[in-house]
Formats: sequence, structure tokens, C-alpha cells
Amino acid sequence: MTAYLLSFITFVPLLAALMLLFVPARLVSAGRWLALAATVLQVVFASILWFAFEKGAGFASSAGAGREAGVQFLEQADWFTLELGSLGKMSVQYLLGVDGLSVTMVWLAAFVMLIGVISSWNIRSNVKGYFLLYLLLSCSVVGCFVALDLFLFYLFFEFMLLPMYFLIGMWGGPRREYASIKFFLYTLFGSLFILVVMIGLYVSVIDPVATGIGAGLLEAGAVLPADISRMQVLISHGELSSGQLVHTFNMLHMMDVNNYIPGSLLSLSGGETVFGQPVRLMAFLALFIGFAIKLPAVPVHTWLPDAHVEAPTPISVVLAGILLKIGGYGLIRIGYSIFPEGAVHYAYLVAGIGVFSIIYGALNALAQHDLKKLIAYSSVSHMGYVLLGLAVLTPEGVSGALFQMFSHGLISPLLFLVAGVLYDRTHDRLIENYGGLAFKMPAYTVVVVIAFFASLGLPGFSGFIAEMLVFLGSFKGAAHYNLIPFWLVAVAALGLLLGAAYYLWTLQRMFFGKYFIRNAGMEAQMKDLQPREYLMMVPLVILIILFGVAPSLFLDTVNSAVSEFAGMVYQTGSANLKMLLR
Amino acid sequence: MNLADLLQPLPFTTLTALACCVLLLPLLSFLVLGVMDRLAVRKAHPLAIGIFAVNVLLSAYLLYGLWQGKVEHSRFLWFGIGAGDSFTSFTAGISLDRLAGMMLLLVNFIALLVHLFSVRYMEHEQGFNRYFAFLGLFTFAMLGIVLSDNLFLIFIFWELVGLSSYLLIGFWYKKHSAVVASKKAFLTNRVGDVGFLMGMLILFAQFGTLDLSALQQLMPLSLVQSGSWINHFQSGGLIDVNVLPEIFITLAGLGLFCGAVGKSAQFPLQVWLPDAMEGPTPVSALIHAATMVAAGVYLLARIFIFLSIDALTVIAFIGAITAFMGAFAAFGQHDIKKVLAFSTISQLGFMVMGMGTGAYSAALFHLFTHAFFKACLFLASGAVIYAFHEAEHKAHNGLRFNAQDMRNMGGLRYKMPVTFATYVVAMLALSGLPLFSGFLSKDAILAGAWGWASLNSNSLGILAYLVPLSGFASALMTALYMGRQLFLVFYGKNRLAEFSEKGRAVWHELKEVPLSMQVPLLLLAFLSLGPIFSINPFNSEGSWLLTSLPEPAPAVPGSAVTYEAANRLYELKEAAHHYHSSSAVVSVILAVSGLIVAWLVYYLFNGRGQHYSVNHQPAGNLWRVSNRNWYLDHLYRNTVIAFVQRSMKWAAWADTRLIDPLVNFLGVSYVVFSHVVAWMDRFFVDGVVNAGVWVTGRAGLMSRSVQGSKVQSYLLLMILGVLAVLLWMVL
Repeated sequence: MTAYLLSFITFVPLLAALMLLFVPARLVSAGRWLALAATVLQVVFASILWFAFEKGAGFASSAGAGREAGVQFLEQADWFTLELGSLGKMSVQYLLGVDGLSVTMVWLAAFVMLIGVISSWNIRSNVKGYFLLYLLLSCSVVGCFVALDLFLFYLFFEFMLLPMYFLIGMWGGPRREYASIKFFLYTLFGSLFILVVMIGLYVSVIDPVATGIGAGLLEAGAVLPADISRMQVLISHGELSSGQLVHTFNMLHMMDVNNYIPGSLLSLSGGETVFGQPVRLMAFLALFIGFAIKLPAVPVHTWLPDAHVEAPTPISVVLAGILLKIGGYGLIRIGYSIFPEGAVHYAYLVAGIGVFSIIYGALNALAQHDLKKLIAYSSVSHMGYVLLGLAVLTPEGVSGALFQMFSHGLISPLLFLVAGVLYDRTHDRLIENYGGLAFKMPAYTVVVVIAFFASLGLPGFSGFIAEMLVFLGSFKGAAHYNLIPFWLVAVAALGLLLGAAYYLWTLQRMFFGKYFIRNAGMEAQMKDLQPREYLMMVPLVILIILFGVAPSLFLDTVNSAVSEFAGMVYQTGSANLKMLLR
Repeated sequence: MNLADLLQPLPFTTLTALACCVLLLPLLSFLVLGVMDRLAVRKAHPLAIGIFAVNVLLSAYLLYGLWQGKVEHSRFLWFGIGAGDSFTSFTAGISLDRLAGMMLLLVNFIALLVHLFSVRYMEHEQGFNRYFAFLGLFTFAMLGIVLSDNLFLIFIFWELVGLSSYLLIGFWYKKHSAVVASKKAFLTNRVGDVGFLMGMLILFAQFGTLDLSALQQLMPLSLVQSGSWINHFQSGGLIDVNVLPEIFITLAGLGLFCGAVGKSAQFPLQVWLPDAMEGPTPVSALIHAATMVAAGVYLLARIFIFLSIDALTVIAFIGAITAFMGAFAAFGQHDIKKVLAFSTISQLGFMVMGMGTGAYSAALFHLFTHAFFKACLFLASGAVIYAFHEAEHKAHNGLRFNAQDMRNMGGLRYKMPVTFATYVVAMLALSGLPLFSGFLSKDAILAGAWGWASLNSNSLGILAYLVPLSGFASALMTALYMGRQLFLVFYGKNRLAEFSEKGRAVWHELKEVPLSMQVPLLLLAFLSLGPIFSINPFNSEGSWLLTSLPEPAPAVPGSAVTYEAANRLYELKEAAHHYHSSSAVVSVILAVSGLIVAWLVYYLFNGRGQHYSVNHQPAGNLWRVSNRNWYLDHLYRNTVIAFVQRSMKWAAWADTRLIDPLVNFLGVSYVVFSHVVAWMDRFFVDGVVNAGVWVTGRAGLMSRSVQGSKVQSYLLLMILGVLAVLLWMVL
């Protein structure tokens, strides 16, 4: 049963979407229930995936010999192959698999999508269209986390834009057109960088096994690691004609420098330089820009506040909860894994942008008048920790970055749901239009306080562990690897102060003090939480506390992968960098 | 030394398991009462009081078990990072020693008394159960600090204490000032916590663990060589080495001390504590006098062994500055609680100064004596406030007055004899009069400071004497401002009654607080008596409490090879002993003269307090500086807060006026560019095609004219024409 588990998790929503196509639009609730069923199935199977996942199996890499190591639940099939004559063959695979870095993200994606469906229950206009797009989104998001073929990944990654564009543009707030176009163009702009690198990689990387089989040197089904090494030697000596080479998009092959054609664009030895910079380093930068837009990092973050403010609540939930994580995940899986020397060379830059995002995002959050915009900027600030933790390449730092993504994936949906509760009632999110809500909506205030304190990094909630690990890891990295200076960590710690400042100030202005609401006509709407709202918030609260008290639930799953990943990136990266800059 | 061996799990013992119960019972109280508050069930304080009574008994049993100097430590792996050789374990555990046992009993005992006191004090409040729930949460966090065996865990409970303090200060959430005060307390504490975090980061980077017992073994083995701090450690069979600049030893200590600066309201972060008086008064007694603010001193005791000499010197000066500033600011207050708040700041300064000057035992001794008499003073002030509120309620004549303003008080000793008596005992203890507990502990600290100054006069010169000087000056001021409060509140005639007819009606209704509030007062006053702590109430050195908390052996880098640090501690102790008698004499003279001056100034020459009426607004720069607490709030508002506000506006400006317009400009230029391309498409490309058609047409006409010639030449022309067109189109 586990053989096709990943395909199942990925395509269940697509299946549901197909079914929904044939349901008449007047059966309004059919879309809801279908979407609910699909996401519940996703969560159930993602949970099975997490349970069945073998901990300690390491991280998906080519393990130096072309073999897939650390990958679990592997699904591999040739998708299409193009014969390009003297340009060799182009092989695109349907390659799915998870390792410690992605399995938790798959679960998170499924879970956030489920919360999003519950939150979508009160969507009233064009329900069928909405859930159709929502299901497409769900499929492509999960696809991003399980695809190990770069072509496939890019397909899912780009396809995500389409439903997102319409979900914001059609069900959003007053400035939805502006926001959705901005979102679309921004992300598309980032994707171009990724596309360029993808083409460069395609030109440079070959699949040693398929090449060997194609050239008649190897026999399909009986390939040993030694054979692969032999093939790599043959290729590196240029003993195969270019027409015999099978170019691949397989990311695992891309991680092994021996699979690069010597002298090709992105090969380590004899690779090209542009403006005196090796192309490999440029490629890392391009990927960094592409994924930094998605993350988002300052200064390419301004699509996020607009998109959040205009998006309907469930789409904000999904956007903050899981879409941003694809930026971080992509950086880890593609940028860091394939170009480790870039990670070492640009550690200062990545960490610097991370710290700048932390402070700048927090300062902006402090200046906001719109509750949702404040939360959006807090997301920018919190994603800065991901960059900081990742940049230092210590196991603590990388674990912290991953945990921060996971924990933010639980906390930010709660924050946006909280903002949505108020917007549902009054269609007004301006902070200064409220006061003393604690008196009128006590249960709501309790949830708000929990969400705010979880987000400002109070112990007992998952965000605290994540941020602590990032701090411990980055300082340790500064001390041991000298990749970043100490003061950067100290500056980042000021983010803890600013984070507390904007949340507590908001609590003071909106929830405490004398009760008042500017629009007195909405008085009757100010009811405390409804059962459906409890249903979507309580599970999040429970999980945030659970992972905060027992972080090993998460860390045990990622530990060995992180350990291998961090060690590989630092060691291979340093070694590659020496060769590259020689 | 292999780190993994140092962090082995240790099984639970009877005592640590019991301590675990003591830790978790208040959490249970929080959860149950918190839920009951949401469900609006009836008052559930008996549960909380029962839990704390059990806790007191359990802690007494624990202390009995620990008294012989036994150290118990249990620990388990909480979570780990990485795998294989790079595995870093984060453990969690409970470590018990005599100090922890004493703190356990102290916290639980005062928490129990505050619970008892609060039942009547809070009986009319909405959120009665919420109040007791928050008390439970606070006690849980505080006990966590006491019991934790590593800095990471301490930091967690440290922050939770900050949270519960936030919740309790802001308990009356409809009151704007309370909400602002709670925010201020949390943020100011977090400033200190960032320093705490930095200290942890340094130790973690150097040693790979934050477990105190492991650090105690690792730190002395690390070395200082030519400006570098070097730690050799074993990792997977290999010897590896971590190197940091030498200054990081001191920075680590000062970083951790920053946490104490925040929690224990030391200069420059003491600004939150006076505002914290917005919370219910029993809370002030528990949190902002006896326990939470003492957590900083407790932390210093825990990390004392890691502090470098430079760090200790800074700590000594910060303590001395705080003691002086706090004592001075206590003069200019009208609010009965604010006087006590500033007094607390000053006394905490004493304790920190004690730690900094190496008078470790004296500082902890003062922590305990202060906890009792300050809790008593706060509860007594709470009793006064309660009595006034009750009287206001009973008189019910529409008179509104500030029940905490001493300008409305005076003469209360006739109406509230029990409160008065307990107040006098606690106040004499605070002033440092012989026969009372405060004398013993304060004297020990002052002797330590004096000794420290004499030892340091070589390196620091005359500056070193500023520390004991500030200590003695503060001791004098303590007697002065406490005398002021005593005479203004309890002596003379009541100024509210003198002021108006309605005031007299309220005064008439004023009466002593009920028994459930008297009992805690009496118990705490009893525990402020000197003979409880020392059989000879004039000799602090003979106190059982002082001798039962000896300094631990230093564990600073290099102390495994040299005995420099240990020798220094010994020298300090000797010097303190040398100045002990002189400091006792000086401090008694200061305390007595302070009280006499207070009696003269605030009673005899003040018309028995009558001049201190409601309209009384003393003038003078000194008074203003005292009343405004050295203008620190003012300073911070104009510097730090203004800076943050300006940067926040700048950031918002950058986002909306810089980045977004740029993005929009790019978007618009893209659209403009596409329009240009479309225009070019229409006019140039289409134009070229049309021109081609036209040229072909003209060529046709032209070719018609050559018709009639030979077929060959016609063909040739045609081919040439096509070629020309092709050539033209390609080029």
C-alpha cells in the first residue's frame, strides 16, 4: 500500500477536483464536502506517511555514487524522453520521494489545507469554482514537497500560481486585482531565475545509469555502484559522444558533482565564469533570489502584505501556513543541496538578509494599523529566522530553520484565523477601531493571547524552541565556522523585543482597556467564538503547545537528515569552493 | 572529558519525584481554576489554598531531607539535535540542594499566605478564579526557576514568570494604566532576557551544553591563553577544540546577569517595578517583593561560580547604583505602594551588590529576610488599602479618593492596631535595627562590601569605596523613608477626616481587616524578628541561615589548575570579617539616626503630619528627581522608544514609498513597454508588410512596362526581384 502513498497524497485533491467538475454548480455544499473529504484523506495518509517514515535514514542525496540514499517511499518512472540527436537525450522522470527534510512538510501542507477547508465553509460566492481551485492548489503544494525531479518540481511550483491568482483575484477584498497581479508577477519573476538555473542544470548534468544503458555499457536492472562510478569516470574523460549522453532533471543526480559534464556550464572543474564569478555561484544566487521572493525576504517581500490583506481568510491561512514554506524548502532542497559552495560562499549574505528581514519586518509590523497587515509583516520577520538558521550550516541552526518553518506553519494560520474572526463579524480590521474586546469576547481573547504569545516566542509554544535553536545554532556557527559575525546574532535577538512590542501593543489597543467599537452598527455582530471557529482553532492551539513541550516529536524525524545535510553542505561546499575559486 | 558522559540521564529519586510534584501542583491549580473561570463556576479558591498547603508541607519535608547537604539530581533527555557524533542533547532535570530546598519552602509559604490574604481582598472581583489561576501559573514558573538543572530550562521558566507577571499586573485589564504597566514590565524584562540569551549562546558555543552540573565540570578545565579562551573536548574519539576571545568569559557572565538586571529591577532596567504596582496588592507582595524579583539574585547564586572577576566588579557597581537610586526615589512618592516598590528596588540592589562583592551567603541571607519583611509590608499596605475601600463602600457618600495615596492617611494606628503592629516590626526590620532580621543580613552585606573595597582599592582606587559608601548611604535613606511612611500613615490625625465631612464619615467606617488577612501579617511579622535567624541578634556572622549557605567553589576557566579565584573568595571573606564589627556599629547609628530624623521632619516639625495634605505638592529639584525616579522613564521615552518609533516609521516609509513604488514602476514600465511593442508591431512590422505589398504592386506595374520583351529576360527580372525582396526581408 505504501508503494504509491505519495502519489495518492498528491493527487487525491486532483481526483476530487475532477469529480467536482461533474457536479452541478447549484449543489453548493458538494464542493465543500468533497474538498473536506479530500483534505481529510490527505491528512490521514500524510499521518500514515509520517508514522511509517523510518527515522534516522538520512537525507535524500546521491550518496556519491548515483544511488538514491535516504529517500523513502520512492516512486520512479520515466515520464518522457526526447531524442535530440547530437545534443543527447532529454529524460524527464516522474520521481517522488521524501526524506527527513520533506516528510514533515508534507504533513504540514495536508493539515493546513484541512484547516483552510474548514475556514472556507462560509465562502458564499461561486462555491464550486472556489473549491475547484482550492483542490488544485492543494495538489500542487503537496507536489512541490514530494517531487525529486526538478522538472516536476518546477511544474508543481509554477502551477501553484494559477489557483492562487484566481483565489485572491476573485474572492479577495477591495484591492484584489492589484494584489493578485502583484503576487503573480512577483512570483513569476522569481520563477524565471529558477527556470534559468534549471536549464543550466539540464545542460550540465547527465544520468550515468541511463547513459550507460543507452550506450550498451550497462545492463538495465543489474547496475552496481561500481558501474556508476565507472560511468562517471568515462564521462569525465569525455569518452562518450555527446549524442549518447542522457541529460536529466533528477535532483539526486544533480547533487553529485561527478555527474556534471566536464567543462559544461555548471560543472565544478572548468565551469564558466561570468563577471569573474563562477557560474555555479551565480546559479546559487539566482535560486536564492527566486526562493527568497517566495519566502519572502526583504526587500522582495512587498507582495506578501498586499496578498494577505486582500486574500480571503482561508487563502491567507494557506498562504502563510504552507506556501511560504515552499520558498524555504526549495532553498534547502535545490539551492543548498545542489550548490553547497554557494551556501558557504554566501552565508554572510543569506544570514544578513535573514537578520534584516527579522528587524525590518518587525519594525513594519509595529507601524501597521491593519491587524492582518501586522500579522503579514510578522510572517516576514519570522521567515528571517529560517534564513539565519539555514545560513550558518550547524545542525542546530538547520533544525531551527526547519522547525521554524513547521511551527510558523501552525502559528500563522492561527493568527490569520484570529484576524478572520473579527473580519467576518465587522468587515473591519483597523486596530484603532476597537478597544477592550476582552470584555465582549473573552474566549476569543484567550485564543488571541495564545496566538500572540506563541508568535512572540514564549516558551511552551513551538515557536520558542525553533527560535532558540536558530539562535544557538547561529551563534555556534559564528564561533566555529566563522561564516557569519557574532554581532549579526545579537542584532537578530533584538527581533525578540520588537516581536513582543508589536503584539503586546496590539493587545493593549484592541483587547484591553475600555470596550469600544467605532462602528456602533456592528454591535450586534460582536459575538464570541462559534463552534466552527473552535473547530479550526483548537487543533492548532493543541499542536502548537504539543510541539513546544515535546519538540522531539518533530526533531526525531528530521535529526539524521539535518545532520547529514548540514555536514554535507558545509564540507562539500567548502571543498567545492576551494576548487571553484582556485 | 566526554560531554555525552556528563549528560547521562539520571533516574528520579524520592526527593526529586516529590519536587516534581511540588512543581506541577501549582500548574494543576492554574489549569483547573483557569477552566473553571471560563465556565463561570463558583469560587474555587479552597482548591488552590489546599494545593499550596500541601506544597508547603512537601517542601518542608524536602528541606528536611536536604538539610544535611545532600544534593539530588534527576535528569532525562528532552530532545536532541543532529545524529551520530554531532548529536547534541538537550536535557531537562531537577536539581536539589539546600538552597533550592529553602527557596522552595519560601516561595510556597509566601504563596500560601498570599492566597489566604487574597480571598477577602479579591472577593468582589470579577475573574476571582482567574486571579487564583494566574497565581498558580506564577508559582509554577517560579518553582521551575528554583528547581531547573540547566540554564535553558531556567530561561524557559524565566520567560514564563515574565508572562505570569504580565497577566497579574494587567489583571484589571479594563484599566488603561494597568495594561500599559503590564506591557512595560514584560518588555523591560525581555530586554534583560535578550542579554540572558546572549550569555547562554556563548556558553553553548563553547561547551555544547547548558547543563549547570556539566558546565561546573567543564568550565574549570577550559583555559585562557594569550587572549583566547580555549576548551578542549572529546568528540567521537577525537580531541577537538573550541576557541573564543577571552573577553567572552566576562561577556557570558554579564549576559546572564542582564537577565537578573531585568527580573530583579536593577539599574538601568528598574523602571518597570514601580509601575507594576498597578496589579492587585497581594500580587505585589508575592511577585514584586518576595519571589519573582528575587529570582535574579537566585540566578546569580546559581551562576556565581562562573562569574569572572571583571563581571563581578560590574555587578557590584550595578547593585550599589541601584540601591542608592531606589532609596532616593522612595522619598518623593505619595503612593503607599510606590514607596515600598522603590524600597524593593533598593534592597534588591543590596543583594546584587552582595553577590558582586563576593558576599554570596550574605546576599542570599538578605533575600530570605527581605522576602518575609517586604511581603509583610506589602500585605500591610494591602490591608490599609482594603480597609479604605471597605470604608468607602460602607460610607457610600459619593466621596471618591485615592485609597493608596498617603496624603489621605494618617492616624491609622488607632483603627488598625494589628496591621500597625506588624507594619512596625517589618519596617524596623527593613530599616536595619538590631533585634530584627534585616539588621543581620544587611550588616553582612555591608561588611562584605567594605571588605571588598579595601581589597580592591589597589586596582580600582577610591572608586572601590563608592560601593560600600552607596550601601551605607542607602541604609540611612532606608530608615528615613520608612520612618516617613510610618509617621505619615499611622501617626498624627487622619487627613481625610480633617479634610471634609464626607471624609470623616469614611474615617468613621474604617476598621481593622478580618482575621484571614491578619494571620498572614502576623506570621510574616513574626518571621521578621532577629532571634529567629540568629541566637545572638547582634551578630550576623553567627546566623544559622548565613552559615548554612556557604560559597561554592569557583569554576571559572583555569580554576582547575590555579586557585586564584578560590583564594580571592577566601580573602574577601576574611576582609568582611575584619570590617564586620565596624560596619555593624555604623549601620546601627545610621538606622537610628535615620528614624529620628524622619520623626523630626515628618512628624514633629510637620504639624504631626497635617502639612502633608491632599493639596500638598512639594517643590524643589531634588524632590522632583526623586518623584520621577531620576527621569529614567523620560530618558527612555526620548531615546530608545523614540528611536524605535522613528525606525518603525522609516521602515513603513521604505516599504510603501520606496520598494512598492519601485515595484509598481517596474510593473507600469512593463505595460508601457508592451504598448510600445504593440505600437511598433502595428506601425513598423505591419507597415513593412504593407510597404512590401505596395512595392510589389509598383514593381508589377513597372514590370508590365517591360512586358513584350523576351521571356528569358522576363524570368530573369522576376528572379532578381524575388531575390531582392528576399534579401531585403532577411536583412
